[in-house]
This record gives sequence, structure tokens and C-alpha cells, in this order.
Amino acid sequence: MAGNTVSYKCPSCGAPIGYIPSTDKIVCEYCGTAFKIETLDDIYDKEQAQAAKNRAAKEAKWHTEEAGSEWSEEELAHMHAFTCSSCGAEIVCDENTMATECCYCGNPTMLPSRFSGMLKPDFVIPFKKTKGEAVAALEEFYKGKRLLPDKFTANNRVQAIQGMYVPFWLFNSDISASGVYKAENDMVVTTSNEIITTTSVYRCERSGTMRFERIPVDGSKKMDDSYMESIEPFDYSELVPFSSAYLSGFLADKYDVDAEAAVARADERVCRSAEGCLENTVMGYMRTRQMEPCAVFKENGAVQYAMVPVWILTTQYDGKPYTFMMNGQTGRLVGSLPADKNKLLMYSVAAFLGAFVVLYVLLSNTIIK
Amino acid sequence: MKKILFILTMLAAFLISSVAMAASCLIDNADLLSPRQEREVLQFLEQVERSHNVRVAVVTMPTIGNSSTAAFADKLVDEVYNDGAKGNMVLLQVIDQRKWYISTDGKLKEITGTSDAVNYMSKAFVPYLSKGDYPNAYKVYASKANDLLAYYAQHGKPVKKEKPFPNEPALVFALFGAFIFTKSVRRSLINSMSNVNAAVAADAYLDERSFELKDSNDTYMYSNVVAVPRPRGNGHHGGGGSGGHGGGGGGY
Repeated sequence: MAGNTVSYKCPSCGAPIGYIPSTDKIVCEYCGTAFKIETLDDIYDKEQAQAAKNRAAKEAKWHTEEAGSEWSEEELAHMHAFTCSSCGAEIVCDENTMATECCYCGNPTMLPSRFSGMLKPDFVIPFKKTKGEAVAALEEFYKGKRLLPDKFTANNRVQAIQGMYVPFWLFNSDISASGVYKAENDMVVTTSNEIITTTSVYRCERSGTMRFERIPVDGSKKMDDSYMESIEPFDYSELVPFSSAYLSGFLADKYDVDAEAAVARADERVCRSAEGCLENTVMGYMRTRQMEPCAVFKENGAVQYAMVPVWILTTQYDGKPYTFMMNGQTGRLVGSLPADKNKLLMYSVAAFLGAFVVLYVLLSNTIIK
Repeated sequence: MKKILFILTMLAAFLISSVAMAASCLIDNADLLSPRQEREVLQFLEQVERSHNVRVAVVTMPTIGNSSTAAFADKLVDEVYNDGAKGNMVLLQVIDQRKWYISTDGKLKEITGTSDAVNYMSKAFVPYLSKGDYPNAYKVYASKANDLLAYYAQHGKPVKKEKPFPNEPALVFALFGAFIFTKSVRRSLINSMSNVNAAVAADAYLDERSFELKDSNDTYMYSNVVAVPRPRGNGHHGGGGSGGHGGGGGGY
């Protein structure tokens, strides 16, 4: 019979292994692990099926074309756009509001430009936090930061904080996911001469369904994703249909990452959560780890376009920009502060000397004699 | 009870065998030394005795049965070497167990019987015991005992209280611990300057009630067996002695 040797990879070490059908057990020549042929056949079939699921999952798409709508002529007539002469950011506002400085780089020169090329959002979350609350939160954020340079707070322009609506794509989907996990249990036997540990390895397959509602992905290249994800979550119960009236007195960023480009980030977050959900159901083992990426199928992958409120301040220190953002709905504030190297050195030396003296006295008098 | 009887029997035999030597500072029942080496070692031990009025003795035994070196050495101090004007100490070496033990009476307990003092002496003489260079091992033991007694005579305090021995293991552990602590303090201080963290998952947007497990299948694949030898304890240990005694011992 032709082709009676089939190639497999060892489930333990990944090395290629082969077997002859007349035997009932094979041993990996690299790691020495023994397998039953039926077990290997079963694993191989399941791996093939999982690979097929993964291919199909990659083809499932979000309905990005449904996000947003067109502005009416009347709405367009009241919209203004400003472009930063330094970083190129485009800020939108109504006819009564002026963008006086760039909220991304702090540059004060904003050039008026023609408003165009932007979808009308489906929803908006209106500002709930006032400028006064944003200033107070920022001042509170500075407190207790031992490494904060004195000059930074002296020159900081907390009053320049600006309210801005940031474009977000909201991804909704019912998904079905399947994943494969490797689980291990140890059994330890102690004899007079040896400690013998037997580790039993299992392949655990899980699949399930779940629903994600409005996973936000920001639609601005200049808005740092990690900042925007840090001010999450938003309370979507206060989401209302968009009206340009909400822009009055605030700036709005013009999206430059379209919904299709934001899909990758949404997929990444969905997959991570789905993997976690399925892994939580692998129970009764001492160790568990994922063997291969989950296959995630999206059903009804709807996308919406929304504007969310953010208080933002960018300030320069030592030639570097430092940005602070506050969720304009919940008040959660995030930011990165500069660290004074001299203060860091001082605290490090003090910590080292203090710890050394305490440890030496403790060890030499009590533990190590 | 059996153990005590055994010790008493062994001591009786030992006393009978050592009557002729009149409880000399060196009793080599294991026959480790030549007559000339015995004279040299004895000269060392007697010199320390004359200088400090303290009995500093060495006893070697081929075996002490199943009794402990500590109990045997303490009995020697109580019943054989108990005539030193300012105190008594003895180094017992047991050949079949390859163990040694230093025992002192209550007068020397704080001077040469502390774990610091025993460690100080043993660090110097145990390497010679291990090499089988017994004459030098006993001479070094006598010399280090002399150092401790001389310091006490001069300062009126044991060495440890006036001038602690540099505790090298403690020094190394303290430096390492301080380094780790400093790194964690630095990291904590630097991390406190930013609270920006990218979200890796979408758990906050998962409708918990919507999750439904559709399929669950566990398949046994294979087993790995790892055997490692059991660790055995065989280290040197200083100690505080028992009852009114001081001292400590270990293997070589």
C-alpha cells in the first residue's frame, strides 16, 4: 500500500514524528514522549478542523459601511475647521467657537480651513464634567507625585485645558468562538531516594457564544490609543443621537482613521476577551495555557460612529509634550508626568541605604549567625 | 533511657582508659596522632591553659555509638574537664560519624560557646579536619580559642559585642535584598508618574449574561515523568548548646 507513513508533529515538543501503522504506539525521538496512535489521529483531525474554523473566522467581517451618515447643507453651513500649522491636526467646531491652540501639540497657531470630508456621527455622549472640574482633577493628579519636577507645576497651564469631542467607532457583535487549551496536572510520589513527578497533559477544546456591545476604537491618528483606552469605559446609557448643537462651545476632532482601519484593534480586543472567557471554563487542572489562537466568528457585526467627550491638555516640558486627558462623562483622568532625575537618584540612594542597614542588622542578628 | 545508659557506659570506658593520662588536655582515643604530634599539640593546648586559666581540651573517639556528639561532649565537660579555674571547653571529634563538637561550661558559654564564637573557630579548623591534617586542626582550634579568651581578658566583653565578626553571608544577602528593594522602589516611583494603560481586552463591553458554553471536550494526550534525587541535609551548624553548656558542632 503506497503512502503508509503519515507525518505528524509531536504534541509535546513540536518535533516532526512518523509512525508505521503496524505498531500501536509511537515515541517521539526528540523528547521521548509516548503516544497512542488513536490519540494522535484524534488530535490531528481536531487540529485540521480548528484550522478550518480559523480560516473561516478570518473571512467574517464587520459591517463598517453602515457607520455614520452625511451632513445636511444646513449643518455644513455652521461648521468650521482649523488646521494646526505645526502637527497638521484638523479640529472642527461650530461657528461660535474658535480653536485657539492645538490640543495635541500645544501650538497656538491654528489656521482656518474648509470643512469637508467627514461623516456625520450616529451618536454623541454629551459633556457632563465642566472645565472647573477638569482643572481641579488635573491639580489633584499632580499631588503626591514625588518625582514631579518643581518647574513643571510652576509653568503648567492647567487653565488651558480644552473640551473636545473625539471620534469613536463602536463595534457591536454576537460572536461564536472556539479555542484549544493545553492543561496539565501533576502527581508527586516521594520514595526513599527520589521525588517522582508525573505530569499528565490534556487537550481541552471549548466553544461558546457571547455578545459584545459597543467596543470603542478611537478614530483619530493623533489621539494616542493607549490614552483613549485608559479613560474608558463610557456609560452608553447616556448615548444620544448626534446633533451639531452639542458641539457648541467645544471642539471636535475630525476622524482620520476610518471604520475599516479600526477593525483590527476591535478584533484584537474581542479575541482576547473571548479567549479569556473560554479559558475560564477549563477547570480542574493545575496549569492551563492556550495552544493556538481562538477562532472567532462575528455575527451581526454592526459598527456605529459616535463622538465622546474628552477634556485634553498638552503642555511642553524640557522639549517634550505631555498630554493629560479626562473622560468628559465619568471624570476619569489619565496622563504621564515627567520625572526629575535628581529626585529619582536621591530616593534610590535613600531606599538602598535604608534597606541595606535594616536587612544587615536583621539578618546578622536573627537569621544568619 | 537506653541512650543515656549507652553514654554512661561509653564515658565509663573512656574514664578508665584516660586515668593514666590524668585528664590531659589531649586524649587521642582514635589514634590519629603520632607521639611527636601529640606532644606538639599538647604544648599548644597547655600554653592556652596557662595564659587564661581555662581548660582547652581535644578528645578524639573512634565511635560513640548512636549517642549525639553534643550530649557526649557536654558529659566530658561536666565529668572530665571540670577543673579549669576560669572555665572549661573541649573539642570532641568522632571518627566514624565524621563529626565534631565544641562544648563549654557555663563560665565560657558567653565567650567561646556562642554560635558566633564556634563559627569563628570552626571556619578556621574544619578545613584541616576535612583534609585529615589533624595536628594543624587542633593547633588552629587552640589558637582561635586563645584569640577569643584574650579579647575577653582585655576588653571584659565577648568579641561579638565589642567587635562583631564581619558577617559575610548577611552582608551579601543584605546587599542583594537592598538592590532588589531599590529597584522596586524606583519602578514604583516611575510608575506612579503615569496611569496610562492600553486596554488589551474588551471585557468591559462583554454582556456577561450572553455567554453560553456550547462545547467542552477534554482529551488525555500523554504523560511526562521526572525523577529527582531527594535532598539530604548534611551541613555544618553552630548552636547554643544545651542546659548550662555552650557550643556547637558539625560534620567535616
